[in-house]
Amino acid sequence: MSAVNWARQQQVFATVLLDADAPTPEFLRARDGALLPSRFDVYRNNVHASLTDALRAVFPVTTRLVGEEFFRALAREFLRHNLPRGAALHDYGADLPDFIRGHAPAAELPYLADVAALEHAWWQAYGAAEAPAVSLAELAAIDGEQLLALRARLHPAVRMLNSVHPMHGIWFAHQADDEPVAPESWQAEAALITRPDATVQVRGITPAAHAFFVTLGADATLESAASAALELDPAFDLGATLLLAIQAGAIQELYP
Amino acid sequence: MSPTLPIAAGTALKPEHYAAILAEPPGVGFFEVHAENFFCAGGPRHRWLTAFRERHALSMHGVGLSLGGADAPDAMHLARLRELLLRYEPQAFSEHLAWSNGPQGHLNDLLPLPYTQESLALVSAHVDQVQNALGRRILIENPATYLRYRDDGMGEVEFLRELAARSGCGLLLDLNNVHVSATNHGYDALDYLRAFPLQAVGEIHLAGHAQHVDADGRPLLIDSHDAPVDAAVWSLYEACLQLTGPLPTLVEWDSNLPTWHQLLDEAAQAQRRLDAARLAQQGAAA
Repeated sequence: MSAVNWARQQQVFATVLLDADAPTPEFLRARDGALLPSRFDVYRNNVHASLTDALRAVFPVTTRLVGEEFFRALAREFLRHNLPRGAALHDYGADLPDFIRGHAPAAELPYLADVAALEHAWWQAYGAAEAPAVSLAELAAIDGEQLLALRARLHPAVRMLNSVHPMHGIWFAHQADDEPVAPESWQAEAALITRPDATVQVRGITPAAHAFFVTLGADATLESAASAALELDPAFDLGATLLLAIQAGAIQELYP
Repeated sequence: MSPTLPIAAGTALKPEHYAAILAEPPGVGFFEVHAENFFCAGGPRHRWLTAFRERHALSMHGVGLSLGGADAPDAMHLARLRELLLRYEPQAFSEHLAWSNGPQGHLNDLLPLPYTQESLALVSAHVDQVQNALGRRILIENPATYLRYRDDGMGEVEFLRELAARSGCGLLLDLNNVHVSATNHGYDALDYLRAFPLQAVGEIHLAGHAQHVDADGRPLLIDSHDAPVDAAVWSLYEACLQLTGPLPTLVEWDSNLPTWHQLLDEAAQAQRRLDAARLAQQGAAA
């Protein structure tokens, strides 16, 4: 027997697992030496059920928006070409939002991909590294003039998302078990995700505040981050946004 | 010398039970967690586990290293495991005689491998590599299987005995898996047990399974971990303890979770049998 025998059989096994129409590999046996396709289906079902469950756990609102049955079909189609890259599944599905954008049956819900992106970012924030956050007292101790020249290191859990849909409002409406209510105003909405004291928090923010945090995260000074926000919205309030950032635990460190 | 688990009954540690356990810390022997659930860098999961680890003995159980595959274990996966074991210093680390990584990615199931000289050489090398990387002896668990390979040149017991002898690893004896595989393949679970290299066993697993009917009308058992331990598995456990004496024993439960007190009651049933085995051992020595 050649040394690559097992490697080849394993490759066949894995490929047939993901293809419901492929015949059971001829090198397998059930009781009494018989080849029972029903036995292979146990593995097929296990793989699909466990990965679909993993996706459902990461994307509960996406699942609610399309319904269980639709989501199961979506997951089956998705996982066939997007298996997890590793065994850690708490943030499986990084590519699901993009997959949804190209998935014709989901076109009726144009906001679905953005809500899915928000859900995935939630789990990335959930599992991010621990780090301290700048407190209100620490911020207050900095001279106002100096403050504008400082740069900020964002907390490792911070995630920022932008959408032309009321992404946060839709997500938020599906957090309780009650029948969700549509957002009051249907407009573009961004979100800021943070994890103060090990609790993930999601805040709806304006597109201008989103521009502020994105610029800040790219190693800019507070002043230039504020300029980026003001370009989008002349009414952007730096003081209020900084206060929100501190309350959310979004800033790990301020430095010159 | 590697640390060892307390010789007592433990339970799986599930997020759904965290609050109940912290409110009233139970007298279970140890908790077991799946290592991969703690592969994230930080956050709530690590805070919880740190709090439990301060009070309880811990077994870390890997479910995705794919030791039975033809490829060497993933370097990133091993690095994360190493980090976890340094951080939590669990009394045991165990993995499966199975594979889960295909060429397309991680399949998230414990898939069967052929029992041949070729695969034995590969798996022994993998276990050796893992033990070197982690700096400790690990336990390898017998799988629940639904299929075997046409080319099998030896039985599962012989494969595991050789694996332990070659790599120096210990074994995790999952009695539910023994019952499930014996039923599915039509052999006697007690024969399997009597032939098993019991001196290498460092931990026992008990769990529930689901009963289906196969295409040929005969029973097909699925290792589902979603129900109480079956009466047949309790009997097998009693038979095992007569051969081995008391051993660290874990009650697994992974889906369709019961209340914390129901799970605790399953562990108490195992503990009663462990106590009886200890008494019998003392009686025999006296």
